[in-house]
Amino acid sequence: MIANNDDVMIQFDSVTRTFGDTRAVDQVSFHVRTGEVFGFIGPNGAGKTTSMRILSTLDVPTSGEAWIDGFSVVDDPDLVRQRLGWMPDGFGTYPNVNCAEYLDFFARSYGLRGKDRRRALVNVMGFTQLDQLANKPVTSLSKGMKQRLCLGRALIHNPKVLILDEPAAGLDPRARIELREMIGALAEEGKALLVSSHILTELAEMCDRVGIIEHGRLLAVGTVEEILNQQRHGDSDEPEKIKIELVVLSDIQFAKQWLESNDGVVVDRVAQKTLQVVMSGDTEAQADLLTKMIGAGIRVLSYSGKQKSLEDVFLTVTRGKVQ
Amino acid sequence: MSKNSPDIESLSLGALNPDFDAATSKIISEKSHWLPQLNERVSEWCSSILVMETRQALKSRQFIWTYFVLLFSVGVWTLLALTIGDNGYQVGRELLFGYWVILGFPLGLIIPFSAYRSLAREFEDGTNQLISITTMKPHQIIFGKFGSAFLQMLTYLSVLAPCICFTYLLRGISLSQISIGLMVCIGGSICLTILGLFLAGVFRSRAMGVGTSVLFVLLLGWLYYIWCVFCESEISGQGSYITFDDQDVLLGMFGIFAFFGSSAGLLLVTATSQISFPSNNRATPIRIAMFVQQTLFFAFVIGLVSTVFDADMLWIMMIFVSHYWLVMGFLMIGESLTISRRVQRTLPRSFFSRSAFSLLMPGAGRGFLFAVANVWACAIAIGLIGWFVGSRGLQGYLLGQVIAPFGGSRVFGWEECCGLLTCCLYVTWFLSVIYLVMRSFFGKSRGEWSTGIGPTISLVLGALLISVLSICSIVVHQILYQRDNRLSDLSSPLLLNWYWVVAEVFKGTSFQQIFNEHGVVAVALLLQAVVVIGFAFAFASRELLVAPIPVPERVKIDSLKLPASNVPEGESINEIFGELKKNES
Repeated sequence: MIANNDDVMIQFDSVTRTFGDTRAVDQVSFHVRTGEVFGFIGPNGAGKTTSMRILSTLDVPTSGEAWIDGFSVVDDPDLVRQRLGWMPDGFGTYPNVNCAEYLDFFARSYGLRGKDRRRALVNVMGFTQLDQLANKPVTSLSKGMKQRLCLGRALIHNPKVLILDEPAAGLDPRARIELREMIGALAEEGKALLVSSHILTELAEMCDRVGIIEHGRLLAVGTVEEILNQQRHGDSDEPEKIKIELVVLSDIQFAKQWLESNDGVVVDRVAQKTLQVVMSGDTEAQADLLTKMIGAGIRVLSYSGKQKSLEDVFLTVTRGKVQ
Repeated sequence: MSKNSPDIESLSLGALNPDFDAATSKIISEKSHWLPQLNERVSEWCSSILVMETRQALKSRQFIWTYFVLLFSVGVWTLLALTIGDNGYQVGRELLFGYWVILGFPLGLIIPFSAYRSLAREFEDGTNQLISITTMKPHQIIFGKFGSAFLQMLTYLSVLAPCICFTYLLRGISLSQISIGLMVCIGGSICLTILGLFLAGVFRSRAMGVGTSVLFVLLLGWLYYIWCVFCESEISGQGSYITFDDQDVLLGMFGIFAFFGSSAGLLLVTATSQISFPSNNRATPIRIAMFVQQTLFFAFVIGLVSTVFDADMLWIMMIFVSHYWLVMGFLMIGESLTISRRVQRTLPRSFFSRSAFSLLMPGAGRGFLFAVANVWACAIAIGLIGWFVGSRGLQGYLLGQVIAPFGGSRVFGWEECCGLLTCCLYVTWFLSVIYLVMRSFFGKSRGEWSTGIGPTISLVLGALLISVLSICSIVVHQILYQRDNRLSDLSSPLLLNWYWVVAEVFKGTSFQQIFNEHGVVAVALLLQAVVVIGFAFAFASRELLVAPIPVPERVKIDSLKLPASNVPEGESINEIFGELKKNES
């Protein structure tokens, strides 16, 4: 069976994977389109790696179907492998091999021969900026360089789909920024990317959409905004809470008392001249509060509403959903 | 994008980089000489694993040390044998068998263990996953590892080749001796290497791996010790001085090579199947290997009976075949009950192909039927061989002139046919019982088991069934009849002991006699056997009814695009040499 939508590169359809009594992945469905970066978020043991292993033809689902570029990962693994690059969270090395030989080995293993192989090597080493380290033994590389090499290995056959399992784990800030740029560039080229990470700020910056998974169940899928909207609709009885951070030049205690005298406003934190406030309402209510403060003689230096981050979304979505 | 950000244009494989040639030569290797260039080109035809492992070996201390120790040992032995050894007729033998001892060390110990560790380390480090998601097929991975080991064999052999050739110039050494020695060394090394790859593929967990490593090293050490003892006896002149010219010896050699060769082939395809994707057809190559092994075995049997005919020999052959198909049958019964859609696409479609090849396809029921069909086919073949040779008038000559002096006195008759029938019935019954047990108790759960668990459970259950019945029948017989250890008669409890019954029938106890003496028990056993076998056949036959499914069009089209050959365009051998000549000029 082949999925029909040409634009969909990764399709996960009601996939379940059990290990004995444990349901590592439970009825998970999502899709990733061409040129899209899809973030897979979840705590340890949530089922991210199992899902990625199924897509990478390293495991088979107990039930459900998964496709890469329209080919079933169970029925046509050889066709899927041509289109797939996988970067695992662990990095296996070979002794007595340098970077160029390591990539050359995988290029040969993907069936690249002659000039095609040499060209692929040069391009990938240029892309991952490993060309200066071509003759360096793989075992002597730093963590960041190993991650680059691992990405290079996944890219060596120019796949349409990339599955990256914790690509930023253990990287220093500079290496993370560079990795993020690489991922962005690959998405621009039209590749579909599925990226998992614990570092939510990383994913928020690089992903077009995210899927939040916990205990094998996919709890929410969409852009951060879409998931927030879903949550709002889900909790429609409660008014929306907004965080505001403000810096005042007036007496901080007076400002605190004045703020708390308003209905629906709670002062969350006070530090020197800074106040963090949580209030019910929308952006109109925020503006009204600022007008009233100035009217009450409180000198406000800065006043900013904090957007809900991916972390907030993750905590909101996972809170109490799965026991 | 920052200045240092990646240049995505360069990632496209189709995009030509203007500095391509310069960058390539910098990254891949400095190819100023024709030999590295030729190596590079030749490697295009080779397995990627072979290429990488060769590169690794050339940089590894283990290979370099072994190579130089080998060179040193050969030099020392040559000097010793020529200076202080016997300078007469023995010197050639001393030198040659000394070389075999030296060669046996890398070929019998280092290479098989290196091959084992090479594959085992892939599982330990997780690199097997990186390889398995490439477009390499599982057999290419295993053959790549094997090819790398074979290349090492040739490298080590190249050290000794001039010395071995030199011994031919000395007295007492024939070409056949050198050939047989080489065949034993290389053949043995190949078999042990394949065994190492098989063990690494089967015992993949770290805990099992440690135990397997130790046992494998002990086995290799023990075999090398035997090899050394054999060579030492030859050097000291106590050997058998086998001439290898006799027809019997040649037949024996064929038997040995057929056995080890086919067993190595079977282990190789089994190792391949161990690392195959679960939805792949892992069973058919193994079944074909079993069939080839059986065919070679029969070729040996025919050769043997045409040389020396004895009914007892055929009876031993039948017992061997029965055990073979019992073990293989139990293993096949442990396979999954269902077959994947991927395999369903390849099921035979025409009436002829379904009739001929259905039993070669995967599935517990097909495996059960395959084992049963083979054991019956073997029995018929053995019966035909016995009848054919017996009716040619050979038996009179053989009985009088050849067999009788060596204790053989039997011709193939009705008792032997009954013995074959009894043997087949027992084997079919054992296989049927285990098939039904596995189907009833482990039917659904088998799909979730990892590779090898089902066959192992099935094999253990089968071995338990046969052992328990055989031992219990003897114990019950002794309790009931209060006899001493000399059990000569066939009592009712002993009907559960298949070895006993088959031996009695071969010795001349007729079916009529058995039914007369053990009426109710014998009839009851036969009836339950008919019921059990009937049920097993009914369930197993249902698997044959699974219809093939069509291959989706897009899969067909894309499969055609897969690289048909590893030889790149514009890289033919003539073009390579032409280009090299041009470069040199």
